Amino acid sequence: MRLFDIYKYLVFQRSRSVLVGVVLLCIAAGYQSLNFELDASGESLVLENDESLSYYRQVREDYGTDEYLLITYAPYTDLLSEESLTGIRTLRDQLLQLESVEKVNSILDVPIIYNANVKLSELTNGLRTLDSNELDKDLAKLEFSTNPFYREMLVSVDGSTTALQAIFKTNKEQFDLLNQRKQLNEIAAQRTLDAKESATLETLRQKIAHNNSLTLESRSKDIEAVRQMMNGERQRAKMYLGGIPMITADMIEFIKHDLQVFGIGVLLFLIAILALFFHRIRWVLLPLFCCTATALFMFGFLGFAGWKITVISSNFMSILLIITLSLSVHLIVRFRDLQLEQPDSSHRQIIEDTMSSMLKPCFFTIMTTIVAFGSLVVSNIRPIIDFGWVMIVGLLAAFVFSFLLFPTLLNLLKAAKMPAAHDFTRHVTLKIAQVVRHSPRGIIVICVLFSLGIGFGMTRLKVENRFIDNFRSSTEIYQGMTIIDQQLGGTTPLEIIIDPDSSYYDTTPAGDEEDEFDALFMDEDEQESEPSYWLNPTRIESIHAIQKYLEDNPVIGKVLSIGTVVKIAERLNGAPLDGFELALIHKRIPSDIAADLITPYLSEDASEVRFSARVIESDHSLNRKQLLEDINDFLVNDIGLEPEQIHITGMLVLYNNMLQSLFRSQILTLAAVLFAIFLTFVVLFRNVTLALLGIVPNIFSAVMILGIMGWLRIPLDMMTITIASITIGIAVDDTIHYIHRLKHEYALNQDYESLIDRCHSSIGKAMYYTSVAIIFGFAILSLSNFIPTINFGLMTGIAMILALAGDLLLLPALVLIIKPKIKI
Amino acid sequence: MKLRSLFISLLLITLPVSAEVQTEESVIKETTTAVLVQLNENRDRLKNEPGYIKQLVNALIIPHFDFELMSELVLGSYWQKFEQPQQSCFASDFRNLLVERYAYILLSYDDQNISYAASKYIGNKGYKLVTQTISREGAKPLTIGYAMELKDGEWKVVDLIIDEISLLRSYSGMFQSWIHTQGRDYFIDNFSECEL
Repeated sequence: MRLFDIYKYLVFQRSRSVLVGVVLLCIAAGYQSLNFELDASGESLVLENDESLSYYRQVREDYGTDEYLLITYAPYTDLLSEESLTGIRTLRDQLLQLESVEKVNSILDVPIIYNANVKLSELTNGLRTLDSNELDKDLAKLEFSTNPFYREMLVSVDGSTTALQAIFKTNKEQFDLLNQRKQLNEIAAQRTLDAKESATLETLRQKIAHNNSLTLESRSKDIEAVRQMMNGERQRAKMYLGGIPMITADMIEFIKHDLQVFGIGVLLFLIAILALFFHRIRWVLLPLFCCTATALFMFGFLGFAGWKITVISSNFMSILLIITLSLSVHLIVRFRDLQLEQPDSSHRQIIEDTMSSMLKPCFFTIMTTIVAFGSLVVSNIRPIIDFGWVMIVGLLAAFVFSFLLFPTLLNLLKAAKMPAAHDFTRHVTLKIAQVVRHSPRGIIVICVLFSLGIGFGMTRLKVENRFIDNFRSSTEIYQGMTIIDQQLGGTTPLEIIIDPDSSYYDTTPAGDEEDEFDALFMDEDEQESEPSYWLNPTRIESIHAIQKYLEDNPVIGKVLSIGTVVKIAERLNGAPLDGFELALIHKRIPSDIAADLITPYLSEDASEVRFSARVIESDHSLNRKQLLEDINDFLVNDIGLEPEQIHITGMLVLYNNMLQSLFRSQILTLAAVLFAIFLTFVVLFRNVTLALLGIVPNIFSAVMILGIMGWLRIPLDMMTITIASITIGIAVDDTIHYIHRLKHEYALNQDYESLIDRCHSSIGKAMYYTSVAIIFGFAILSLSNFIPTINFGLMTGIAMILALAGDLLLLPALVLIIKPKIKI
Repeated sequence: MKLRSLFISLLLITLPVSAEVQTEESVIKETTTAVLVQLNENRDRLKNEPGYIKQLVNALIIPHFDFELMSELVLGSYWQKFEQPQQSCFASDFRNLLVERYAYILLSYDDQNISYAASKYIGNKGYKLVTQTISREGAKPLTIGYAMELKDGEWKVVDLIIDEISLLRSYSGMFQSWIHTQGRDYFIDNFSECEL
C-alpha cells in the first residue's frame, strides 16, 4: 500500500478517529503547555560553554553579584529633609524585609567620612551615618557631592535624586552547580563522557534550569512587591525602578503580553481577512483549526520538552501562524479552483485531488523552509539554536496538522457551494500577469536597479542596539533607564579585570636580592605575605590613569575601582600612602568596611584589580564593539599592559558578543543558506535552469529586506536579525508553489504567455491571499510597547510584499525571457 | 587600622643597654615597657610640640636599627649600581622616611595588652625573630615580628613584619619597580637628601 493510500484511508475512512486523535493530542498538549516558560535572562542569550559567560560568572562569584534593583528617588521636598528621609527609610526597611534581598545601600547607611575629619585609624570606631541623629545635614550634603564613591551613584550631581540599591543574595548553590557543569563540559570537550558522567551532567542541567526558573519567578514576585512599596511612597517622591533584573522581568512581561494580546489579535484579524476573501465560514474555520492545533501542540511540546522561549524565539508563533495559514490558503484556493474545473466531481474526489496535487509542493515548501531555519542550528548562540529547532518542529507540526485536519474536517462537512465565477482576486493577479507579459525586461531592469539601490543599504546595517531603544519612551523601563543614565552614573554594567603581568607568575628566583631576603628571613614554616602586586604607588598611578580614561569617555558613567578607595584613604590620611601603608590598610581594615570598599575591587591577594563601570545606554553615540576595542587598545598601548592581563566582561560584553555572533551566524551565512536552497530546488524541480530562476526572487527578497533595514536604520538586534531567514522562508514557499504550478501548466500547454496567465490566476491567488492577510494581520504588532515586536511586524509585512513581488513579477518575467525547457 | 601601638616596641629598644649582652627578647620587652612610661610622662609635650616625637624616635629607636643593611637589602641588586654618595644619601633619606612613619603612628598610641612568643632562629644567617602580639578589646590583634641580627655585640632590627607584611619587602618592591620604570637617576633625585 502506498503512503498516499494510507493517508487517504486515514483521512476519508477514519476521519472521526483522526479528529479524536488530534483533539486528544491537543488536550494533552494544552495540559503540558502549563509548563511553557519564557526566559529573558541575560544568560539565556549565550551558549552555555561560552568562555565569556564562564568568566562573567567567575567574576560575580569572586567580586559579588551585579544583580540588584535600583529605585531612583527624587523627592518633592529637599533630598535631606525629614519628609524625604522618612520616605527613604520606609522603603529601605521594606526592601530589607524581602527574603531574597541581602542588603540595601542608601544614603541613610553609608558612612560619612570624606568630609568629616575622620582619621584612617578611626575607621574601626562607630562611623556616623545619616541615621545617626547628631549628623549635620550640610556635612552629609557635602559628603554626597564630593565623596568619589557616592557622587553620581548614590546621589545625582545636582543633589535632587538619590537611589536605593537593593542587592539580591547570591545563589551559592547555583554557582556550585554551574562550576560542576563547567568541569564536566570541559571533560566532554576532551573525551566522551562515561554513562555516570553523562547522567550527572544531565542532572546538573536540569537542576540549573530548575533553579533559573525559580529565580526568575522569585525576581518577578520581588519586582512586583517593590513596585507596591514604591506606590506607597509616590506622594513623597517621583520614583523609577531600574536594574538588570527589572529589565529582564519586564521584557518577559512585554513578550508574554504580546504573545497573548497580539497572538489573539493577529488571529482575529486573520479570521476577518479570510472571511472577506472567501465569504464562507468553513474557509475561516478550517485554517483556524489548523493554526490552533499547531499552536497548542507547539506550546505543549515546548512545555513537555522544557524548551524555554527567549526574546529571540518569542516570535516563533507568529511565523508558524504565517506558514500554517499559507498552507491552508493554498489548499482552499486549490480546492475552489478544482470545484470550478471539475464541476461534476464528487466532494470527496475534489478533496482527494486537492490533497494529491498539493502534497508534494507543500511538503517541499516545508522542507526548504526547514533548510532556511535549519541554518540557525549551526549558530553558536544557544537561543538561536533553540529557535532553529523550535521552528523545525513547528514546521513539521504545521504540515502534519494542515494535511490531517483540513481534508478530514472538510470531508465531514457537506459539499461546499461552488465559488463565484467572478473572482476579484483572480482579476488582480491576472492584471499583474498582464504587466509581466507586457514588459518583462522592464520588470527585470527595475528589480535589478532596486536591488542595487536599496541593497546598498546593507552596507549601513548596524549590529548595535541600545537596550533602551527596545521600549517606548512612555514605559517605566525607558524613563527609569534615562534617569539612571543621566543622573546616577549609567545602567549597564561593564567590568574590567586586570591580572598581574607574566613576570608575577615566574616563580624562579629573579636574582640575588630574593635569595638574600629568603636566606635572611625565611624558614619553611615562615608565614610572610608576598608584596601586593597592585598596592604600590607606581601601579596605583596606572589604576588612576585607567579610571580617568574610563570616566572621560562620554558613554561611560560611574567608575569605581581600588583607585577610588585609595583617593579616599589618602584624604583621610592627610598624605599620600606608600605601598607598605596600602598593604597594611588592606590587611587591617575592618571586614565590614572592606566588604564594601575593597573586596569588590581587589582580589584577596591583591594581584587582580576590578574596575566597575556603568555604560550610559541612552547615549546615541554608544557603539559597544568600538567601545570595547578602544578600552583594550588604551590598556595595551597607553598603559603598557600585556593583552593577556586584560579581561573585559559584564552584561554589556555578553550582549555585544551575542549580537556580533548573531550577525556572523545569520547575515554572513545567508549565502550558504541560499546555496543550500538552490540545491534543494535542483532536486525538487529536476531542472537546473528552473532552480536558478527560482533562487533569483529569493536573493532579491533577502537583499531588499536587509537593504531596507539599513536605509531605515533599523538595527540588527535579537529580533530583527532573524528577519532574513524568515524572508527567505516565505519567499521560498511562494517560489516552490509557483514553479510547481508552472511545471504542471506547462505540461498542458507550452505557450509561455498563457502559462504565466494560468499560473497567476491559480497559484497566484493563493500567494496573494496569504500575503495580504499576513501584511494586514501583522500590522497589529505596531501597537506593541516592545519596539523589536513593532519592527518585526513591519519587516514581516515588507518581506511578504517583497516575496510576492519577487514571485509574481520577477520570476515570471525571467521565465518569459529565458523560456526554460521543462521536461513534460 | 591600629598601627599606633605597633611602634611602641620600637621605643623599647632605646633603653640603656646594660654591660652584658641582652637577649633579643629582653631588648624588645624591656624597651617596650620603658617606652610606655616615656610616652605617658610626655603626653602633654607630645601634644603641644609635634616635632618632639621625631626627636624621641631619632634618639631612642633609630640607633637600634641597622639602616645600612636595610638600605642595601631594600634596593637589592640596584644598591651596588649607585655610587657611594648616592648610597649614603639614600640611606639617610630612607631613615627619615621611617622616622616620619613611626612618629605619626606613635602619637596615636594607647594602652594595649602585649604578649610575646618565644624567639626563634630564621633563615640561614643567624637572624632571630621576636614576635610581639598587641591586643585590644574590640580590634583585631596586631602581630609585629622583629627580624634581628647580632652586630658588634648588640641586637639590631633589620626588618619589621607587621601582620605578615614585611617592611623591607614592601619598600623593596616599590623602589625596585620605581627604578625599573623611571630609571636610577630619576629615582635617586626624588630623595631630598640626594638632590644635586
